[in-house]
Amino acid sequence: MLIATDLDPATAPSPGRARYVLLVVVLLLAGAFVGNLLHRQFLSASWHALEQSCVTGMEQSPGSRSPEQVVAEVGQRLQCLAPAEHLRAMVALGGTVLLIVLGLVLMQLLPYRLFRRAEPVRPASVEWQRRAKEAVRSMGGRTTPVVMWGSFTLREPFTVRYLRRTRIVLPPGVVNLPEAQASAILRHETAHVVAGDVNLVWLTRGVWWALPPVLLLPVVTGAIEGVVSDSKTVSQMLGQPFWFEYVARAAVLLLLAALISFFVLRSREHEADLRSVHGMSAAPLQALLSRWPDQPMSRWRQLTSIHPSFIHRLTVLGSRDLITHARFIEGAAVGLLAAMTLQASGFVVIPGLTGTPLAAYSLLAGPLLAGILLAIGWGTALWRAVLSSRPANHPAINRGALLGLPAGIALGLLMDLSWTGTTTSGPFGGWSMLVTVPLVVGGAGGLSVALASLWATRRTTAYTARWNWLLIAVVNAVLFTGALWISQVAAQLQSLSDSWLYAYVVGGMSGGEGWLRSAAVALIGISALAWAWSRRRLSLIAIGVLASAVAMAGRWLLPSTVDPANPGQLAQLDWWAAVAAGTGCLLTVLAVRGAAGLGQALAVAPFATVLTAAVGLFRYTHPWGVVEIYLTRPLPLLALTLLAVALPAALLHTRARPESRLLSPLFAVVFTAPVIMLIMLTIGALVW
Amino acid sequence: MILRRSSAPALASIDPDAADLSRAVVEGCYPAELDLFDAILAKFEADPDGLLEPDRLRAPVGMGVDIALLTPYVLAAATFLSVGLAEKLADNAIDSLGQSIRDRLARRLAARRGRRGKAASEPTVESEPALTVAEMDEIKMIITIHLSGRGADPAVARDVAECVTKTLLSGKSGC
Repeated sequence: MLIATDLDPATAPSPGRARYVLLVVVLLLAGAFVGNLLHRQFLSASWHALEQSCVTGMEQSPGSRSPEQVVAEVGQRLQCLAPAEHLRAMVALGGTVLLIVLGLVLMQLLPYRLFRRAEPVRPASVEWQRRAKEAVRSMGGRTTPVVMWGSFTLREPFTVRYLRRTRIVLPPGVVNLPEAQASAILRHETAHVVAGDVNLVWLTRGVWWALPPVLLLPVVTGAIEGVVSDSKTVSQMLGQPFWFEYVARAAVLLLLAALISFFVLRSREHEADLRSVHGMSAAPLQALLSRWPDQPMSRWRQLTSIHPSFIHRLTVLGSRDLITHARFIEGAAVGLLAAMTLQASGFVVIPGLTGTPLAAYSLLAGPLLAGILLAIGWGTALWRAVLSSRPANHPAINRGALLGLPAGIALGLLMDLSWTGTTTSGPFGGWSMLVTVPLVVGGAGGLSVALASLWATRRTTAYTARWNWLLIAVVNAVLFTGALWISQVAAQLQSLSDSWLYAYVVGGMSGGEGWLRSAAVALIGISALAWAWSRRRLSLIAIGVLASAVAMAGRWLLPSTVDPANPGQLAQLDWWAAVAAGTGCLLTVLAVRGAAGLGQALAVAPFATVLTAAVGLFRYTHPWGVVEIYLTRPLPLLALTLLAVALPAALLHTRARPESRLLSPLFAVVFTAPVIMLIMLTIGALVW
Repeated sequence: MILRRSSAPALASIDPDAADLSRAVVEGCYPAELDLFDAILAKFEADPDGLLEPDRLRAPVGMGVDIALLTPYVLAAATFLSVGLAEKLADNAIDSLGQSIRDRLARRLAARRGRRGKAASEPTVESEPALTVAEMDEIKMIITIHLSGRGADPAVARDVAECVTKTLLSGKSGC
């Protein structure tokens, strides 16, 4: 049994670190987009020629073709196009590699430049070096920095790393401080070293400064092409709306990246404060931070400030936890960055995997990358906030935090550099992505909070082990990756069909074999965890059994338009009945417990769905042959349903009064009956 | 106006009286900086404004606290007094002090010089009436304003002004 919790900075993963990684990834992917543009400028002619020859070969196939033939021909065409696609991937990757190389060079030069500004420097005494070593050891770090005194005009302690050596530079004025406060400064800087901030911060800065010249490359090459070309002028080359949009999006990217990096820097200051006082008195650091009164700052100064206000730092130190990791602004920032990785990662992965056995998984690359980073950058922040809330069950997550993520994702999809050229038509040729992806991924955030709340109610000890955080990261990665993946698929289906119902049904129940199996397994796993962490399991079982009974009764007793001679449609009727049972359970626990019922829904809704589907198997003489399909159709649709309603459900009020053990199962009947009736009435539109 | 940010001229070498007073202040109030005194003094003599101008590095991995050396401000305060009392600056804020106070401050500085043995004939000051609390506050305020104008944090400026005034008037090292 997993039990939790008190947050130990040595074991709890830092959302801040993942946010840095996310930021660097977004900037590097902008390099891939630049590479893609350069490919379009210089190699598109050969790409189109090869594509034309591949298509021409296909068109020569005589007569009408079966679906199997069409699939085979598409495969052949992609195989034919693979060399050109691989080249496109390589050029896109080249843009990222160029950015990495420049970023790494600047990662050395920028801290060196800062260090030079603090000169003349001199090494601190052996005693200071010993103190630094001791601080590193007490925080579990490995890299021991060299402590140095900066110039007489230096007033701010700082840490740099270049040429594989980490240096903490202290202002000479530190000698006037009481010893405990001087040590607090050294421990704070050491905490940055142990947390890995030094490399991450300078890498982010290096890549950020390297990005503008790389972003300018296609513009410069376009201008040069205009100068040397006989057929086109510079104004013809660069006067197209595409380039204005490109420059605007690039500027927005740089501005947002800078603001978010400041924002993460401030968050890391809190973490360094907390890490530096872990297991010891915070009084010296608090005394030090209390020396300076906060000056009123403009909103812009606040946004671009590297350090949080002293009063804010003292507040966080007083609470000994950084629950403010999970606010609207954090969710929005992380969501914005995650959305920007979705499409851009495809510039390398999708063409790179064309014609290979892994091609079927190429669409998963973006969601997987963004999902993992969201899990650590946002999921763990939500869990930290829930687990550190005092008293237990106190609502640690406000509505703003839940809404920040979808807001950021919508903004990220709108602003993303890789969507240049779609401003008038929307991503994927429509605006459904701006609704579907934020809603469903926001739902994943809601489900994450629901699971964390379940876990928080079971805690009996004051420690969260490192492996528990690994499990938390995996659960969140599954939730966010799945949500990103299926919401993208559903959005594309909606754009193609212009029907939300089609997007929901086809996206949920046949969004590719990868989705069907993965979603079923993931939902069963998450449901098992929810059962393990839930209370009043007997009541939940009663709800599930009654909902299943009502759904089956409706499926067999109510009239439907399904062709009884069509076994495929009858099977789909079984699946829909199973989904109705799960949906009935979901509505029941939400009605009874409000937002707190979402975690219980994760336990009971899949249970009722599997139970109903299992009963449907009795129609078959040899049910084992269809067991898999009976699990991998209704469960993924239920997963999409849960994801789609989780965000609004998480915004409901939590009902505080104790639920009735008799009334709750009765609600299952009340809520499942209309769901199955609605399905039976509309089943003609749902089956194929 | 005394609130105007004033700027001390770059000197080839600081007035010995001011240097002596500064050393005494540092010795008494900020002894941890005593080892650095000569080096800071040399830097101050070369470029006083540069020494008082803080380096705003905006280091991304830092701590966000502002911890200044105090010796440069002690030197600035002592120079301000010694130059002002010697009437080397036309619009010095010292002029706002009463003549009596200025005379007594000047004699205190001279007395320090006497104790260094360079001018044994200077009058002694032990028999003079002590400055009142109000007069001392007036001196501290002028020094505080001067240091604030040169970029010192208000709390630092007040602390240095307190130390400089007490050291000057007591004739001894220490706060």
